[in-house]
Amino acid sequence: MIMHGFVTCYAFGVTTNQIMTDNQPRLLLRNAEEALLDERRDLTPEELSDLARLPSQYVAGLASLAHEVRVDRCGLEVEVEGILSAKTGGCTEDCSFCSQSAHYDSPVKATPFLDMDEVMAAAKETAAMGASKFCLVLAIKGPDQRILDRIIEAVGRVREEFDLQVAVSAGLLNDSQAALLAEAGVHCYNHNIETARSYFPNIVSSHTWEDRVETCRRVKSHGMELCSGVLLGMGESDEQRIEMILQLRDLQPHDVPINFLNPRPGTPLGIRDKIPAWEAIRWIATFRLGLPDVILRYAGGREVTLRELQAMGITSGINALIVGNYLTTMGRDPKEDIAMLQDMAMPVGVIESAI
Amino acid sequence: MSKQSRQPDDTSDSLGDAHSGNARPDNAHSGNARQSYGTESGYCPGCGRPVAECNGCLPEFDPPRFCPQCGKRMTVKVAPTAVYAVCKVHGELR
Repeated sequence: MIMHGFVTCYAFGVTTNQIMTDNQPRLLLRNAEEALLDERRDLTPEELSDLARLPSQYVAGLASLAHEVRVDRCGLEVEVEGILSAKTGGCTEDCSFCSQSAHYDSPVKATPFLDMDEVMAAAKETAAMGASKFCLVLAIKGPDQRILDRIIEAVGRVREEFDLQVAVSAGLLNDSQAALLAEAGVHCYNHNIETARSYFPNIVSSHTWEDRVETCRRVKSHGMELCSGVLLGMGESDEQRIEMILQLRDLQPHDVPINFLNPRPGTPLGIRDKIPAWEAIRWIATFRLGLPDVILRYAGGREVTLRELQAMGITSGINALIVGNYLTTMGRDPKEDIAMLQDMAMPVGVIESAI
Repeated sequence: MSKQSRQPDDTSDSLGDAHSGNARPDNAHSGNARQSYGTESGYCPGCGRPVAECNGCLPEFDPPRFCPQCGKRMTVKVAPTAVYAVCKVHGELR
């Protein structure tokens, strides 16, 4: 009998690791397919955990199933978004991965809120790339009234001049701030959970995971779409990645960006290795199988992590992309992404989440 | 890890005359990650050290952060399809 790897066996409430026999990976994939496409039920944490541990040679099968689930639940359309760091660096928070934190000796120099002309020029670039969404991002703990006023002004101007959904990412919000942004026409608010609740204190000490979730819930309560994702590769365990999926399930975001750690010089995580490309594919697929209805978005770090496998990510559960440059790093030429989607016969469009 | 190297929201080294902050200049960097910086100049655009000590630590998808002429940290704005890097002394990096 061929022994492939370990599978978690949950029997009588006891979890043990057992060697995965030769037909178990196929059985696990078949059961997951039946659950998601026929029974139309969510996978249990145990099922997800087992799928995430499939031997390497079954990752392509896992990806294939994730793609089938994505097309079944969300269609073939891919959503394209452009982002702009409207206020860079000098952030009071100590997120260990972030080159914009004032706590670390990073090469990124703080710049104030961009002029409105610069914001509008970026929105124009975004529209020209074929994107349907434009996200204004600010490196702050949360907005004060002055910054909130400027965001609201920018949102209004962009909405007036371009056919773009406008998203904002400006840190923690209180209830009245969330209400004001919703009223201003902010379509979507980004606030990532970043990592699992159990791992968050290893990454950030200046605010809590619960603070983040509170803002996420406020966003939804005021009718904005919630965009909340993760950053993989910060040292979290496989179990903690499953934990993230379950916590996101609970939060029910519309859009889940998957970032891969691109180690930044000067930050505490600057010396970590990047996630291997094949592992990234495994986890994109696992996130899709765990969150079948969400918009699962390629975000920061995909170029340096996936390299030649970027197209494969699109057939592993991804159905949205941030194109062009990121906040402090560059992306590949947007034309390459558009050509990739054309080659894969995937139309660029706006996706209505099933959630 | 060095901490508190500067104050939060320290933006005192704001853009100089080379960039008015109004309309985007036509000579902005393309934002293409394959552009090379500093290979023939005095300082590494990735870490600001003299090229004799470092010439090539700028990762492929990172914009230049230090002036290739003087090694000072530059103000860098990353737009969706372009990058603008301005040295307080030498102006916009071309």
